[in-house]
Amino acid sequence: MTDRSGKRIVEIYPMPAGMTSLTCDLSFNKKGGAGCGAGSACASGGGCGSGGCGGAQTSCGTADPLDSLVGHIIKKHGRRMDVRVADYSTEAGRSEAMHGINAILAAQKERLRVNKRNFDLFMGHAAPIIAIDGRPAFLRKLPSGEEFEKALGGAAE
Amino acid sequence: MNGLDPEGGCTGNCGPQSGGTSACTAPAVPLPSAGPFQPDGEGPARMAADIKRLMAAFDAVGIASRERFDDAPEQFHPRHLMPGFKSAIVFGQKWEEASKETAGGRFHIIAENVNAIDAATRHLTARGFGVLPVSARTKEVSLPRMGERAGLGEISGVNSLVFEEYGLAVKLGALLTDAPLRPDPLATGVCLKCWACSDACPVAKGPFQLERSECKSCGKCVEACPLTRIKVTEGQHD
Repeated sequence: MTDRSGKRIVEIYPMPAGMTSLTCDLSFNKKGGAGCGAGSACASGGGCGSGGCGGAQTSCGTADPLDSLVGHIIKKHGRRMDVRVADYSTEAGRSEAMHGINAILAAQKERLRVNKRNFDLFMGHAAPIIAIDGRPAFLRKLPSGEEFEKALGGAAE
Repeated sequence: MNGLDPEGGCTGNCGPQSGGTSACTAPAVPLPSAGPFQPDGEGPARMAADIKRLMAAFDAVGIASRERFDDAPEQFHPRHLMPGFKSAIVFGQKWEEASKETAGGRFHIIAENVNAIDAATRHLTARGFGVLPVSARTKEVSLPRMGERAGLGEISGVNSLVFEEYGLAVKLGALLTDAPLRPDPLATGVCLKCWACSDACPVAKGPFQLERSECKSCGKCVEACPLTRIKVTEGQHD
């Protein structure tokens, strides 16, 4: 699965706030796809405010693994890749995240569909989720850049 | 994690008006008929059997009654999560060997497990009972202790739960409910009491001498248990 421009799509569904040890509150952005480009700034670990790239760093004293990953993808693949990070802070963002996860579930031929009632339950078991081109590549962990590249190669085969 | 609203259970008919999304269609797991609950002794047994059938995607499911927590340490008593609970449904999913596990396979197991939890929750809420999921990451109750009281296994030397079939290689979760369900018999004679787990642990000072906060998730205890049947990778049970 790629988008209309032929870009490969990376979807990142972090653990919703308050459910995990991930302390950064992340917001939704099509990083890289629409020219945000701020992921690389976030990856520096602390300079990113909520206005620039959609607000990563709020309480982390060191580089956030998610920002590091997004930074890596943007730096290495630039506009060839569309990176989408889910934002659960608004109803619309949550709804969009559920829609995206349901598309992955459907593509995997799973019976389950997430909804308002079971979304937190599902995320508690699966998040963070990284999907490459609509297929789950990592569950419950954020990969290193090297691990991501390996999975990217596998997903392309 | 309080993801499920005990008062707002899905009946499988929800559309946008009832708080669901368009993606929420009919229940994926067929539910037993929602007849009136019969608190006559047969009801709790039947309900317990129904719950176990609905949760068959898990490798183990056990039920504990509230009375079994009478001796629980005050700070870990499940009543703090759900004051009126009458039963704890504890379920376990065995680990897959990391080398044989794929993201797609893991995704499937998680989807099936969530589906099962969903079905059990709907089953109970459709009968007017409250349900509260207990996150595997909660620090407010001890899932191994709940599992022990639900008859799934025994407490190991590193204060985890040891299963006869899977050793220590099991992930646990639980639901609390105010439904009176027939409890399962307690498990006995499961742990070999060889203390290989606490001996292998780099932190434990001896059997039962490990605080949860001290656990490094190294997996050495899991691999050391003679009842564990898989090769364990460091950090696998994080």
